[in-house]
Amino acid sequence: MAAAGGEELAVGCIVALRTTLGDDVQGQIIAFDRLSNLLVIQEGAAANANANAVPTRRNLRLIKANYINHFSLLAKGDDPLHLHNCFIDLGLIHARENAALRQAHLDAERIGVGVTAEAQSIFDALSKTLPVRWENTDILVMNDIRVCSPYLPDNVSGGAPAANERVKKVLDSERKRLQARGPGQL
Amino acid sequence: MARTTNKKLEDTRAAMAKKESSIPFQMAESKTQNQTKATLDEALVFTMLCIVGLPVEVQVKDGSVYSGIFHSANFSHGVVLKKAKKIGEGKHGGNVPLGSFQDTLVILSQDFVQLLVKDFALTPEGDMNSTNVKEGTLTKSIANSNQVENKSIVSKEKVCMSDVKVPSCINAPSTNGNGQSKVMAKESKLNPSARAFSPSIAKPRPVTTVVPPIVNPYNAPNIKSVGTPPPNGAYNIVPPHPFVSDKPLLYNNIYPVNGGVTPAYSQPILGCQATNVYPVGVANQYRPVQIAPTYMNPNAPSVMAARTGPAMCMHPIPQVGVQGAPIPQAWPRTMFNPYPHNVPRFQGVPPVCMTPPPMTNVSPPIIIPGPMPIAPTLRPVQSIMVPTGAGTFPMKL
Repeated sequence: MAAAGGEELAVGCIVALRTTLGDDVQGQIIAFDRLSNLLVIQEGAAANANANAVPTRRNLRLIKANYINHFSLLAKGDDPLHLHNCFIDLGLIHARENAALRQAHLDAERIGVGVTAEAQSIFDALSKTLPVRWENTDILVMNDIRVCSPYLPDNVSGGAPAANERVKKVLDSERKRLQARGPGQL
Repeated sequence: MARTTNKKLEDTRAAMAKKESSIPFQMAESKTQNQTKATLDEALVFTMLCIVGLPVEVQVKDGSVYSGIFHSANFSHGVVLKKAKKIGEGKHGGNVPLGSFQDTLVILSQDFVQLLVKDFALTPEGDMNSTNVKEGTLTKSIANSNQVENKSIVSKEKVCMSDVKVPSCINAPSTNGNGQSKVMAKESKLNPSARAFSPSIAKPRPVTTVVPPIVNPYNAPNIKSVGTPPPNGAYNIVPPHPFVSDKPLLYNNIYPVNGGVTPAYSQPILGCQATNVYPVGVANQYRPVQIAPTYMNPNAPSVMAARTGPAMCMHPIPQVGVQGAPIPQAWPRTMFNPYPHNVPRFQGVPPVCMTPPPMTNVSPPIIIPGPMPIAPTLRPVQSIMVPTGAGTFPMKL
């Protein structure tokens, strides 16, 4: 990092920096590790040097110092972490990771394979009110009613008549809503 | 006989307490042995552990942005993301199609630029005892509410950064996940004066040795690495045939994106070392994995790791994307600013991403005997006890 020279990045200082890829970051230094040359910065309201500044999102960044292009010290501060009082619940971390993986798996299953953006939008809209899943490029509603491409009400087939009609109505209303939102949404 | 045994237990406890009182971490090796050795910053280690399991975005040096669940990191080798996908295109195409899901993505350290965790505060705003403190931050009130007699056993299940105060929920076995720890933490809150239970020394919990991240071959279909493979073949290409035994999966080296050679594994990977963990560049040191390919593209110039579930086609596809999923022209969700590049929306393209196998058939964690060797270029570091799904083991920093 050319701007820092060989100086230590003081933990607790509030800094503003720009990466070589053009990202502007402002936050408080949580840690700096020389071994890996990593800088840990906590962005957010507490890290704003200006009390009247617009509150920003509390994000945590790990930046490789090699890619810091511009660096400026805004304010000094104390070490925000008191490691002596820190503890980590590894069981909770395990559980959190597993839950995140399960959710990611479910989210991935919601993505159609080989379908258009319009189809995906329709699927997402239907999923808000109906249990839907992809079956190849068809949308399967309640495991019974099938909506084929181009996903018009006329393409709804299967299921009981009442359920079929209901799906058609929901599909029609969702398509209208998507159209009303903008042509780009479909 | 009973009196002698009790006395021995008391002496042992006293000795351990005395020893532990001077060491913030319970380490497998003596701290004095590692005082002159380079160690990772403790705050960095704490940070890395706190963000395990969180959705993160990683930017590489060509500007590409990948999002996924942070699994582990070894900054001499790379960052491992689970259920990752490329959300921002950089200068170079890379070997990962935009928008396609990868069960495991390894981003090499030489390509790593920054990692972003959104809406996550490592430090609480204002009062340390604030109820708005997020997970992974300081919980002073809990930390001060209980004391534990036997820190050696406790620390095997929870990293305790205090030499005095340890929450009672540490005693929860890691195999039980979060449930027991939550119950015990709740009980401690209900009755702050209750004495914390500490397991007997006579029945220590099984502790596994330091193991590097390992992979569950039955639940890790597609593994991708972003970056160039080392020319010496440290990263083995997984051939399309079943392996002999269940050992960590080797990940593929497809389409080197950026230059750089990563030497043999020399530093442990931080993070939860449970299932679905892939060692970065340590293929040679593991026995091969029992994997059966389910889908292989004959036209693929190189193949992904064989797997039991749906495979990821790795051949270069002129038009890629998440079919159906709208690909934003910009990247409003990301905080990064990749190189300006109009991302076309691809439609009607044969599917690239196949649904990953269900998560239910997760195999139990695979234990590798013996600690990982440390490369001569890196000095051994202090280790902290990190539990796996099947037990606990010390993790070297």
